[in-house]
Amino acid sequence: MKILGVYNIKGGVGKTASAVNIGHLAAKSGLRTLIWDLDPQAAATFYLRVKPKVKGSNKLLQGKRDLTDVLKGSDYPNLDLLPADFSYRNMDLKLGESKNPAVRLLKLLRPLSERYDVVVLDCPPSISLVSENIFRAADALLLPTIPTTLSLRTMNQLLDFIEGHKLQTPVYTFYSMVDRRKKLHLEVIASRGDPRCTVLETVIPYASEVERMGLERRPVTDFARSSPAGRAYEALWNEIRQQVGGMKPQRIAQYPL
Amino acid sequence: MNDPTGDSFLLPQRTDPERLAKLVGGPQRCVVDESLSFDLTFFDSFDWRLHAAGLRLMRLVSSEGGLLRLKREDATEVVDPVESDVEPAWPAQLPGGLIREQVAALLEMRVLLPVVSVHCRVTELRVLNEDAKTVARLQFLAMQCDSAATQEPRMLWPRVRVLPVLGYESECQCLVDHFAGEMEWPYAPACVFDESVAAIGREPGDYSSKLTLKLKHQQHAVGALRKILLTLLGTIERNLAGTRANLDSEFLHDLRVATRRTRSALSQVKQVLPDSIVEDYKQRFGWLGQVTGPTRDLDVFLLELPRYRASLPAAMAHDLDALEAHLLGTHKTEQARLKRKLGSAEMRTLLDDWRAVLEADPPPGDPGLYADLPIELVAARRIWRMYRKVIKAGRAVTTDGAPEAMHELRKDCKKLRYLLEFFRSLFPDSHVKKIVRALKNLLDILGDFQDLEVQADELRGFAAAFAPDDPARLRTVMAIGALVADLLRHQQAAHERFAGAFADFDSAGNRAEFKRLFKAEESSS
Repeated sequence: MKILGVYNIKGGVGKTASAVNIGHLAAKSGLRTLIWDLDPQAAATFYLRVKPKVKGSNKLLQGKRDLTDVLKGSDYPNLDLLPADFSYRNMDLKLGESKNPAVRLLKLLRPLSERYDVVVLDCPPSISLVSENIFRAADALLLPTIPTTLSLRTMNQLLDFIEGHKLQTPVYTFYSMVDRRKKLHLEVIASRGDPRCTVLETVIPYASEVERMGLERRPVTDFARSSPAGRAYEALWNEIRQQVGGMKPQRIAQYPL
Repeated sequence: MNDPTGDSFLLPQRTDPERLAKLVGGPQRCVVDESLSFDLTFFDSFDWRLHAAGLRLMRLVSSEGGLLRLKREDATEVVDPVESDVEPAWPAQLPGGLIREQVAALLEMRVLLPVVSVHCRVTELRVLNEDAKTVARLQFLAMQCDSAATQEPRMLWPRVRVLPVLGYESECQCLVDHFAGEMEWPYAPACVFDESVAAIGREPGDYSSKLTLKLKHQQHAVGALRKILLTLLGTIERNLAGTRANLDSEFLHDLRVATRRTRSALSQVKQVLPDSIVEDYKQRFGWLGQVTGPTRDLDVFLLELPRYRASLPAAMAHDLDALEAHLLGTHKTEQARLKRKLGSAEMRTLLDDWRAVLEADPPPGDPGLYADLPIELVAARRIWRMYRKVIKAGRAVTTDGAPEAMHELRKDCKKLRYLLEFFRSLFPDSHVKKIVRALKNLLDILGDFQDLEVQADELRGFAAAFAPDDPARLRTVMAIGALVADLLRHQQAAHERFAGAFADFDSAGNRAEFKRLFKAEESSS
């Protein structure tokens, strides 16, 4: 099981859209996939037509309740969701109460390793104990970044944090919500990135289709797969799969005999 | 997430995905999604070894490639599937892993043959709730298999599989209840194997080299003997194509065993068929035994070769390469000759004539003296006489130990075994099983004694064929020498084991069993 954390300190960078589209493409390729919506705003949960609220989420974080009891199937084969809950806003406090709080999330995820090939964590913004948990649990961190000065600054903050905490988690960044008419966007993309992370080649354009995900309540890669955004996410997924490695689909699931 | 253990139902014929969606509640409630096609081919040996072990080997081919799966009768996976780009044939050539291990252990020298191919088309449907959220999945399955017998594809019953969506299990249960209850759709069998095999007019286990005859005690001897001989003729005919095509060595082996059994039945069950027929066909089946002999001998060597190599020190294992090449070359020539002989008019006439004789009512010629006696009586008498002959000869061999006497004893033991196999349905099974076991043990030792000697002699002959002035060939000759020494050591060991095995066969318990089963029948006549 590979754990991919889709993260950014900053909000509004296309994080949830990326998590949902990557999760959808992973499932479509035959990988048994779980999206865990860790963001109390519950956008991923909404996109996948599931009602938010995990009953007893506090017990869940404390390990007193099995994660598998609260899983919800999506509209897509191979794709499940661990829905968000508003109580996640207090997750830092709850994690803080547990023993060895920095690896709590990883412990919670371990029992799912037989069930899923990929877990995509849709992480809340900001940097906190939750984030540290995610960094420690993830096999790879995926950082959607808008090519602006401010975004690059927050990316550096994150990389400093990872370095400061001596974490080995590989970080992959990709430019998101890119407007090719903007000179600054093009300049940032052309510039050399921070050597502490890998900059993926795929660029996700700013596109109305991505915004329509809220209306359609489906991934772009489902309702507009041939659109520039749909194709970009497809290319992004292929690149992630190649870079992270170790994600081999079990072809058998789709055959009924 | 797909749960592989969904409930499956058989649908009425002519149901299609759109009709199914309508039955579930129309487009607001059920959406027809994408379809996917794949071909599924089941494989087994000609004698159904996998089926007999409760296993199904299948290769699924889709646009993504091939996938090999080994399942149990209840359709659960025995081991993880493996990718396979070529159609399976020899177990040793299957993709590595647990599937190969399991299949190879069961198949031994047999090749995998396609049993039936099913073309499948799966259409995914989603069942929605009032929020248009998917709460259950359906897989509609349309299948057809190609039948060589009818030349036309046979449609199988369409099926629907209901798959739960996590967190919405109650909705799935409602659908299952609806299908089973109100719609009265029957549950589909876990595996499509039985239905597809039946669709092409076959039956699993429809061939076995074992004789499983059901004879009636009071049946006239002539009728029972004809039944035995017709069964053996069927075995010969069924193995003919596989022998000619050299699919694997067991086709020829089974053909030869059926031929030997035929000759044995003709000569051992005396005075039942007209003498003229017995003499004629003993001779003609003798010809079949002869023409099939050389290829079988070479088959045995080729099958034994891995064991031969293993018996040599590792440094010498490759010294047998030239022998293997020689065997393969000779086998090719002999197989071509065998193919011609088995395709000849002589062969065709033999089988046709023999079938006409066996199916004629009454049989042509003067009936044998015992033709109308109850078979039970004739069988018991023959078995008892042959048993006494074996005991007498065996006791003589125990004191004498001459190889020729052991060879003769083996022939008699084989005749006794065949008689017991022909007529076992007439006697209590558990008792016959016990004495056959003791006889088989004895036969194995006698077989080793003779076969190892014959093999050693043949190997000496091969060695003589290699030019001694060629250093590479010299190594082969030396390796053959080591092999011959090893074979003769084993033959000696078989000789030493003989006395014990014969004593077991000639035990007081076994003697009493033979007497009770067969002598009593004779004396009551």
